[in-house]
Amino acid sequence: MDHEFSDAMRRLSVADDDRTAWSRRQFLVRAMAATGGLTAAGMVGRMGSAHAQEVGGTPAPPEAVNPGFFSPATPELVAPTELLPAAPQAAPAVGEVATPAGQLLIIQLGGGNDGLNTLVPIAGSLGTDYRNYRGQVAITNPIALNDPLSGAATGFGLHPNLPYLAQLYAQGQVSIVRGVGYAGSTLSHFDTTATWMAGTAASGPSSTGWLGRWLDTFPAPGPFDAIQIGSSIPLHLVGATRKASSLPPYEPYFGTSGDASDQLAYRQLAAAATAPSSRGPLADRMNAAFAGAMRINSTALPMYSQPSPLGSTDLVGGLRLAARLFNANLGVRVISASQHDFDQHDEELGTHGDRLTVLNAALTAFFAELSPAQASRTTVMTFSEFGRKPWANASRGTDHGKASCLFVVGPRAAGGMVGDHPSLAGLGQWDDMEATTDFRQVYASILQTWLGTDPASILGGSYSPLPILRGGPL
Amino acid sequence: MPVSQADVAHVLRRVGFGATEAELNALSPLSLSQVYTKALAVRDKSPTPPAAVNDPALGTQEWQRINAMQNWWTDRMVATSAIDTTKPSPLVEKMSLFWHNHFATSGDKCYNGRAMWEQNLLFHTQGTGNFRTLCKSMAIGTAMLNYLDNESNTKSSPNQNFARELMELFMLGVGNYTEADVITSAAAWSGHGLQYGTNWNLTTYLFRPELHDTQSRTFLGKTQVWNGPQIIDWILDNPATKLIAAKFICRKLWTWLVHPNPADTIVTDLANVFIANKWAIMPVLNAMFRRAEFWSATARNGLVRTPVEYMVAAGRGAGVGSATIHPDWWDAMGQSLFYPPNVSGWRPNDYWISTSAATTRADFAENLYWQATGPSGPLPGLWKDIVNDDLAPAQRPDPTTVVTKAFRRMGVPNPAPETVSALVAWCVTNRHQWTSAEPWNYWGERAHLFRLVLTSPDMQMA
Repeated sequence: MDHEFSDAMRRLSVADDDRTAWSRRQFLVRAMAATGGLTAAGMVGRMGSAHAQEVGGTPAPPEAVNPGFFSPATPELVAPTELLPAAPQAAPAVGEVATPAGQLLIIQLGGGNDGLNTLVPIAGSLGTDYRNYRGQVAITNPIALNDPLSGAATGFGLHPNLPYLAQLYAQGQVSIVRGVGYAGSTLSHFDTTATWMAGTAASGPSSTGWLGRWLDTFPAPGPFDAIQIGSSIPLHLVGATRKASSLPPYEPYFGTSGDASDQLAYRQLAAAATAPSSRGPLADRMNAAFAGAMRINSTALPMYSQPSPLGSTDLVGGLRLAARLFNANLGVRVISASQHDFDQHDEELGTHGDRLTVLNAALTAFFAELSPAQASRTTVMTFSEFGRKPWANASRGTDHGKASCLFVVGPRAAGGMVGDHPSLAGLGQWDDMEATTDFRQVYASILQTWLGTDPASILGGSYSPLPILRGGPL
Repeated sequence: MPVSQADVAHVLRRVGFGATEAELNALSPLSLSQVYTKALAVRDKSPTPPAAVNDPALGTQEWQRINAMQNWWTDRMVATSAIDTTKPSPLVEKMSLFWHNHFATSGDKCYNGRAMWEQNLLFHTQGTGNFRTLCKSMAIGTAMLNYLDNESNTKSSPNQNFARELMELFMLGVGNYTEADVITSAAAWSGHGLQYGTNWNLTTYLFRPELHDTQSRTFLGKTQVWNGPQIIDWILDNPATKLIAAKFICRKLWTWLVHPNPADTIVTDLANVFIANKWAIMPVLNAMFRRAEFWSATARNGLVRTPVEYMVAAGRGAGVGSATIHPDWWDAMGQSLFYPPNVSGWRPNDYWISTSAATTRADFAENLYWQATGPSGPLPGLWKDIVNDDLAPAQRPDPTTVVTKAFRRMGVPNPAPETVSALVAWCVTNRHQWTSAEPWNYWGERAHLFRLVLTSPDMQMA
């Protein structure tokens, strides 16, 4: 039994993996942390040839055994990806100068990011109140931010674990929206997350999200319009008729195997997806989704390892993959990724700092990987469902609050502070920092300036745009 | 007159989680009436919890309790049988899943395995029982009191979360009540809270009269001093709302178990059955599955399997349970039992048509095959009786026989001709390709066939 196979089997084996000791979150974390993308889902396919060796006792052929049979020149053997229409390329009208379409990377900081320990008040009574309320949970060594244009002190600093973001801020490539949130927050994770993702003027549960409704408007939808890095599609990427595609953070297996028999099977599945069948339209759509998955997975597969392995399957690896997807010019308009565990009710300083370290590393990796040709048409924004209480609690953490801050990052960001910081004066133990800027104003600006669509029709109401971008994509 | 195997398969996909080969064999010689009697039989409504639920050694490690419950419920759903009365009833499990989705609560917020268990037990005991009883018990269960915050709803500091959802999501639907009704509902439910025990996860329902609002208020046209359960009673008894409530539930049942967008006549008929039977659920289900529309092409082709339905059907067809179906696939596929995404539950049907869903289903199928047949797997000879791929191709059964048998094994006696011809073509080419010069590839037919059947559109249909 070869080493790779036995290792894979060991990890796969129910008897050995002690899964009762894993929470469902730990499973995903561990699955994603497996080296080389060999995860519970990804590794199994690789076992095909190894298992064949085990059973047959004969080495598997290194390549497809019949090159003639699999020659791309043979019409019936077109790769499954090519059985589907290509991603639409918008052609500019004659005489019109083509404007590059804006690309958005949206990062969810799930659990309620502590805005006060992310953008730290330093100066004046705001700084004094902050340090008073927070006590041991205050950040004492923030990276002070100066206005990128005038060089004057802003009175705020970034968490010390965000040096890359501070450097970009100094270059005028980060807009920091202060006091962002909404009136009437319930302080519930699911409620407020759903509200943020829905992005609608209407109240009550919504079955669609703001970017999903934008996807609904595409005249010629393609599989790469919007991509979630992760295993399921969050509400903000779900429309009434469309939703994002998604790529797993680990190397997908389905549709990607070079094994000859696999390829044959995949082609058979994809070919069956091209015509209406007696199974009815739902089954045909499902079949087309399998074919689409094969196409997306096989297109994206090289990006998991080229030019180098992603290195991790957390936010850092996810954003590296996002940059490669933008670089590949597949027509991707939005990529969404998430990092969770910002809900730090106790012993916040260490754990929250760790999360920001990952965010800083992920942004560094993203911009390092992003091709210079893509940079001026790419903008990054973060969001979190709420901030924390200004007062620390008794267990050196912070409880659910209201307003927080968010970042808009990239060469086309306006740079500087946007919106007023909420007052901290005279707040009691359970008082909240109320929002000064509605999160839908951020969406309105992104939709209008960056994605080139009418914000009111997407959001179901008018929200004043914010000066977060210096202009559209270039 | 015996029913067709395709009809047996259709009934059992909707009443439960798909037919096994044994069920197809046993039920197809029977009359339709006999099939209904067996398929809709209700039993074993008070199951014993998995040991972890009451294991004091777990302390407050609630995720372990909920993990155990995921495995336990998976195994129950996989084990359901319409022909073996020692096994759980398909309908009881299917309806428990329906109500888990309808009265959605999540272990993410209600981090309390015992509370989640108590609610699941309620769905088992009352899911085919009485809707009024179900609503009243659900409302004062720890899981719901915690999940929708009614535990902190008091007369001086009202929390409308539960009071609103009770009408919007659970009983009436949006637009059938006013904001004033929400205010009264919140007042009526004020003081219905929790008593925490020595551990925070040892909770019991406690009504605190001193926190309860006793002001006279109007609710759906009637003015009095309201107490929570009376809100449920008045919604169901009020001549102006009872038909709305009955139609709301019947529409959802039809949408999830038959097909989306039912005609209003169907919904009204069923709602009248519901009301006439004093909110007993079984008469509605009996009427629903027996309607002519249940046999229409719209119904037969009208539903895509949710991840739970898909994974359980795969487990039933392969003959494996939670020890082989790693429970964390629930999460990867987007429908983790006891963790619905929000109060409105999972979305039905074509929500599950996506590239990510397809990828995870295919990767799951691959994983399931290797988990089952690998060195520590329980079924190294899985499907070898269908095709022994240790043999040279010429010695194997013909491809059409192999493909047809494989689908039947997965509870699909009637795969579409398009699907069969695609898989047969694959099989023919695959066998042709691998000559005796490359014997190491013979084995692969079973594994590929398993994945192809599980990723076929026919297998995705509920």
